[in-house]
Amino acid sequence: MLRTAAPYLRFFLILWIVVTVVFISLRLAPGDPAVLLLGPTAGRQDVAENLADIRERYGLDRPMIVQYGIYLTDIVTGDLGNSNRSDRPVIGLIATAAPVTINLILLSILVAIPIAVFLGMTAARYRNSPYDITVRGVATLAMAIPSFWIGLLFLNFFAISTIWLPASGYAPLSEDPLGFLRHMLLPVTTLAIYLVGTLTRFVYTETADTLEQDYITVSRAMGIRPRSLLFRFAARNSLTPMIIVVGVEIGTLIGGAVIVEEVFGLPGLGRLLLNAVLGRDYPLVQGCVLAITVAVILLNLLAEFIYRRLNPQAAE
Amino acid sequence: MHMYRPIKVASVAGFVACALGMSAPAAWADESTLTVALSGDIDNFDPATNQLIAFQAAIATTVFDSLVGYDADLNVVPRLAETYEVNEDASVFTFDLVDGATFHNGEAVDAAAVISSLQRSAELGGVFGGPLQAVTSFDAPDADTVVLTLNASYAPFLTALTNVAILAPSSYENAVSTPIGSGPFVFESWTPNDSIVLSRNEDYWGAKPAYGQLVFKPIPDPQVALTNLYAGEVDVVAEPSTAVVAQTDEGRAQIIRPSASNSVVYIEMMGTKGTLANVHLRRALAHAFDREAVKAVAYGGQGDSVPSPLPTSSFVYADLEGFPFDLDKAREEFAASGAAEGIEVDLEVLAGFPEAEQMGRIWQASLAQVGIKLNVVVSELSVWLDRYVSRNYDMTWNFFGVSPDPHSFFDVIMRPHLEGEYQNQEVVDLVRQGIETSDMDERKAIYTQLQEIVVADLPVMAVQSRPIASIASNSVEGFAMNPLGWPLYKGVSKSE
Repeated sequence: MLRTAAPYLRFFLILWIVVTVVFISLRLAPGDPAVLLLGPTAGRQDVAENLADIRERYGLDRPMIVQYGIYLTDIVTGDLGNSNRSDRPVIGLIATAAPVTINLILLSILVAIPIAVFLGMTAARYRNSPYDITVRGVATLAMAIPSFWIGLLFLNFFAISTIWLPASGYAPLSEDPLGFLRHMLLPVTTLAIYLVGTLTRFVYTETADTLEQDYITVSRAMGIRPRSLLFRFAARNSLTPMIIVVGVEIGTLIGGAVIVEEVFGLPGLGRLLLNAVLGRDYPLVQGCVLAITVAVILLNLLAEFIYRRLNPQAAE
Repeated sequence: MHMYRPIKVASVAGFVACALGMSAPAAWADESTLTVALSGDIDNFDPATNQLIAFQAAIATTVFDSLVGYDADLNVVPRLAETYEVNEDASVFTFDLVDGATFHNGEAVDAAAVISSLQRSAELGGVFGGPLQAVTSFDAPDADTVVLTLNASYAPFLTALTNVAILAPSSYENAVSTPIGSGPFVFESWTPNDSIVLSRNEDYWGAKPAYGQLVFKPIPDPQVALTNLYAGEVDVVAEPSTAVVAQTDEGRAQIIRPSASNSVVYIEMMGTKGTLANVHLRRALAHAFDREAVKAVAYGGQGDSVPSPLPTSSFVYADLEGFPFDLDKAREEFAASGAAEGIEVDLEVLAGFPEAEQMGRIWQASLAQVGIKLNVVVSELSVWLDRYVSRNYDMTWNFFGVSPDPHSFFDVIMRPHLEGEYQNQEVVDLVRQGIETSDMDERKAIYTQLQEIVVADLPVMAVQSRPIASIASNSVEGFAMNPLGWPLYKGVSKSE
């Protein structure tokens, strides 16, 4: 009984910690949301009443512990509140922005996995060859280069110097599939480069280990062709753990998406969150972080689940 | 591939128009969209509370009408008020409303609606609503006439009304998210960080815009915005940085400048910290401020660098000597102030304005020779604003678009200082006299005196006027900016 409940407890514990940390750090950061809303003249005596009204409307005049209690109660009842700045429901703002980020991350993963699998496995097959050394070097470089820098380079070359691709903006897939691809090409490539680096190194290590195992030596002795050996026999063992790695990387990818969305002007969750932080829009920041946390935890649980299905040994 | 798309669309539209035997540009323009790049997103759509210049130009003057408005040179012109009358001592204002004006939700723009909207602004106060608090009675002798009676003469009242947008009375509750006015454009949608879409008001009482949609796109990087303009994805870049304007290829785009710039940069020197409470110390700082170097380096040689806090285009502008750049005199004033050698002074600067930081660095170098250590503190908006509003600073950089009436400078920039550390009854009295007389010569004398006092006492030091410009594609016609830095979208048309 306790064992089945444990994952759920862990899930809620993590959520509670994240929500609390965000709640407190937002209020410790300098900057008053009500003043930001009214602008430079918020200090005038004739707007004092209006300023007090705004504080009251958003509950900013109450003690922090009371605000926290109300916030937790609202979350439990599924109410994320309205944005302080735009007065719109936080859920709606997140729902509009999320598809952009989901598409960005999903496409990056779909692009990165085949490339990483091919590079990682072939490099492991030809271990210590110049090819292997080049692949590993490039993979390390891809991991190390900050994505904002790659993004700016792409922007400069493909969009500013040549105008081959749009420099910023977004077109929904459902309305304009071609425009969607053109707008997504640079951001997805930017984000995928990091992922290719991480995954290639992972596939490489796993495959190199697998290739040294007894069953591979036996298979090789039986005269199975090297290509089948690599892509059919070794692949299954060395690729299933990648599911877990992709799950873990989701958090990093969302972090990368914040930067990529800002550089390429995509109206996604990352940019929504960034602007909410700058505008001290407490409910929106809290809502975005909550949504991202839930998504990361669920995706990790999903990755774990798939992994166990594919690899029954791990379930024990 | 991308480059061909707009051309293709245009030629198809042209073809259809020819087939129907219509004049091609008109038919095409009718359906066309004017796309404008803004440097930031807009999230609050209530014209009574949002004071951003971008909002004023993009929403407050397109979705909304005011009783009176500005033309491109900031002359007050009729808008919802077809005609208006002011009594001799500027205390009773009578407005005749235009016939047939309706709000976008179908409600009539009558005297009752206008009064309700004005009263809401008065209640909210601030820069826009504040002047309306002087109104003692809002009367509607008939459905088309509004009479406002003030408690005293108030000469700048008409210019103040240009900033007061009239909202549909049923829309107050949702004004932040769903603006409903009577202007030439109807608010359609806002997608955060992506676009704000307005469409032409087909029932507009005045001249309708020549294009069907007005779309604003937030593009924070002005270089990227300019690229989008070259690529045909946007038609206007509304707030480019000075650097990007300088590198614009004038064969591929046009640079639009207003007839003058009323946007003036200030250093406000009197905060609650009291570091610069001594006037000699403020004068030492002023004498160490190299206007020519700042103008050349930080502002690319553009703008008017004068000691007066009012723009040179103002009808009361006074040409004053101030405290010219002279390090010896700066040292004398510093000695007279009695401040300790090596005193540290923080200058608060808002992030995103590299020219302000450059100005700070130039000043820092000269002040070091005087014995004053200047720290340039660059902060993001929320932090800067907190310090600005609480006035918890040694001195702060700021800029403000001075309306054609000089009172706006004293009402907005000087007011917090007069309510705070700068106790000067003479200034308070003069400011009151300035609004109580409508005689132009008298006002000129009053404001000349006020400028002399501000320049001598330096609660606020004027830096210079900001060079303002927009970039428009070559197909855009009739696009202008006013001296406040507002791009004027209404009269624009697009050619092929």
